Amino acid sequence: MRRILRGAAIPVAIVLLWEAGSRAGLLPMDTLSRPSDVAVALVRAFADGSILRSTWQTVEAALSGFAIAAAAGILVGVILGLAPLLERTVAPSIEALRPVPAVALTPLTLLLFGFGLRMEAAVVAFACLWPILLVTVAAVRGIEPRLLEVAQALRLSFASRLRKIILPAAAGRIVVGLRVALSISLIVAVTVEIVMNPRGLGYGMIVAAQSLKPDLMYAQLLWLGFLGWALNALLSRAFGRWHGAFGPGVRP
Amino acid sequence: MKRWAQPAAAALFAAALLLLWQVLAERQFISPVFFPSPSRTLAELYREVAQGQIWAPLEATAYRMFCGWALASLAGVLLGAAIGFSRAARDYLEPLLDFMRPLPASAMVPVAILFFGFSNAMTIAVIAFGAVWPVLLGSLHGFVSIEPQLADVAAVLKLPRAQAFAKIAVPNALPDVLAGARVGLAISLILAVVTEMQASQTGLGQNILLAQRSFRSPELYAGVVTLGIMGFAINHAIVLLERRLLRWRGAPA
Amino acid sequence: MNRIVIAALVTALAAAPAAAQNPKANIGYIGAADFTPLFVAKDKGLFDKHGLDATLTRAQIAPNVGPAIISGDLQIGMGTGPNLLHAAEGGLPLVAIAGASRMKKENPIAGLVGRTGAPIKAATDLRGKTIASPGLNTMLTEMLEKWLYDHKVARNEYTLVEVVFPQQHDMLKSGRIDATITIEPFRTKMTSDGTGFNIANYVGEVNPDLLAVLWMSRRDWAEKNPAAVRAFRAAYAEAIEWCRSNPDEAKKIQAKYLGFASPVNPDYGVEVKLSDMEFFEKVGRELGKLRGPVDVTKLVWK
Repeated sequence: MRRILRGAAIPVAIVLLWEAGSRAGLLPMDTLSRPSDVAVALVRAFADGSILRSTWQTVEAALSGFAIAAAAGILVGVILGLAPLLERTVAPSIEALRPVPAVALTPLTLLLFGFGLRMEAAVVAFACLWPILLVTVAAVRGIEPRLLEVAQALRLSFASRLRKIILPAAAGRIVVGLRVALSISLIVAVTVEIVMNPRGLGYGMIVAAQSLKPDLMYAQLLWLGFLGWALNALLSRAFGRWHGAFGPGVRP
Repeated sequence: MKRWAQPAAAALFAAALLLLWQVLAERQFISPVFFPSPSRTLAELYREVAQGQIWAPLEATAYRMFCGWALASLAGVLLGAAIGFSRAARDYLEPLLDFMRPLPASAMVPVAILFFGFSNAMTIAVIAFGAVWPVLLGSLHGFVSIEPQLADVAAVLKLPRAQAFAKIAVPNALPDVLAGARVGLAISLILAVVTEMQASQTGLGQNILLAQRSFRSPELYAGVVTLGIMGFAINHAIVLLERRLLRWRGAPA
Repeated sequence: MNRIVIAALVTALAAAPAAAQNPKANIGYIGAADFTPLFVAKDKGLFDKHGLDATLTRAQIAPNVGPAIISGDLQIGMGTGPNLLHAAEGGLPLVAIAGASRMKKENPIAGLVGRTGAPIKAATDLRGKTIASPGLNTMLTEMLEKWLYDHKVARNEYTLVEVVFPQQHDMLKSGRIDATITIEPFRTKMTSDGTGFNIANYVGEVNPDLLAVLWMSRRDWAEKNPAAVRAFRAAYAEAIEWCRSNPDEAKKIQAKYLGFASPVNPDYGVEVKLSDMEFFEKVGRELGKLRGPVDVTKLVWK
């Protein structure tokens, strides 16, 4: 109980200061709005279904892109992990492509796919591919060599080897990479919506701001934060507390 | 295998990718106005370097990126240490941080502009906001996953807390902190570019944006390639730094 | 006899839907009062009446519209003279099929607003100042650059930053910017609460009758769909007339699409004159925005 109170202390203080500051006229209202107004806007957005629609659009794009990146990343990662020579050939090219900000690709994907789900999923997939790929390569490379020798001795087919030995052994670390990518997918999807694609929560925030409704914009932003937090909490429940792409932590 | 064979193979692969790009561009699946060939892109890049236009924006972006990253790393390590070692700090901070983490940094730009104006300080603040998370998570993991035997050693030797921290906790956490910092640096570069676009700061990001809006795609792609080269070079530098700092560990991370 | 009648009826019914296949157009706009006739045309069924199956798509910012037209997502989209010139220079096949609004000196819908207390009386006082604009390479910004250029203020003597219209008021108030290019209703908001004052109606000084916003399409689409273009123009012209005769209802429709109603509205106009584009071409070359001369006769669709 004490933990919950402590956890709530700072956020509640921020909200109270924000409300007091705007009522006292200290804060610029056109851009910041008030917590009480934001709460009202949030309730209204739920009531008319708009925020649920936008949420679904954003989540759809984020998950589609994530799924593509996961499939490609794990497959290619396993292959590269098992073939170090191939990996060393390909690695510099990957290192050169990785720093390209996914958002810089939006004009290109727009021209390829037009407005809508596909362009957004493509950008999300590009952004999520790298963490999954790199973590998978590292995970597969870290598999106990004896396990691989056993697989060889048993003359298992590639598919069997994958299913029975490689994936289970590497699963722990791969899952961590997937979790990182999942968080990225949501952020990138929203960024694409802010910048270009007329659908989803990001687009909703921009339209709200342009329609002179900063309360609605902040309502959507807070809802987005909540979504991200909820997603992470769910994953923690399912896969244990994690502290980033470095494996589950040992809590003191 | 000869020593030059591996780098040669890597170079060949990269060249093959460039060739693929050239072929796709010439086939004109996408209008060449939006998808220039590598030859046009590189020609534009050469022109920018030869005429010296590229250095000022590059420097500006790099400066913000490094400052934001430094701030993020410092904050990340401090917060990670605080949360790792103090139950009270964890109780107060963790829920707030968990909520702030998924917020896209680009959504923070308007607020940051209000508080800091159109200045480097603003971009650095936004970059730090986005880049702190991997460092925070890395240091947290590093600090809490101390080998139990090391903790026992510290207890047996009755090391004062400060010494235990410096001699045991920090070296133990270093690999994870550095790994987190490396991810943080990649994020810093992306955010430096994105905030430039949103807040009219001169730099590579703004060049890319203006090129896109004037339909000058070779300039756009030249800018993207420059970013790629920058990211590549910096990452490499960090890996070398990591290797030096972690030499005492023996096996690579 | 009955069978023939039935056959004739069936044939007629089958033919009817085919005839009712109106050309389709997805029309891109942004959140500005200039597009009120567009909203009216859609709401009042004027597009359908003239034979165009129109859908409206709101873009976040103007620069998104051009690429979306090229990609085929939008058939018709908003743009400005400078947009079209840059597109032409870049090799993009865009043409102006109609006008949307004009800026006339006697009805200054846009202007330059300075922060109250800032010592800005003339153009030359803007040296060393930070000026906000809704977009760094928009038509309004280019006109400001032209105005300052005419007053011998060089481009490197002032700083331009991008601030979207809704945030300009706070930026001005907090001193982050010294002046801002703005339009109604934001301008009235800034001047009426003491945050800012009108510096100049710079657009009017640069050109007393300027083509502000136009409608553009891909040339090949316009070539293949002349009926759609005619329908669009006719519906739009009728919508403009309707706005003139029903100002209050027009305001309501505007608020429905934009989220707010503007107290002052632009001069709508569906015509695009060659002289309009010639003006922008001249200014673009003068300011160094265009690399060379552009043939504007190709850019205006007949």
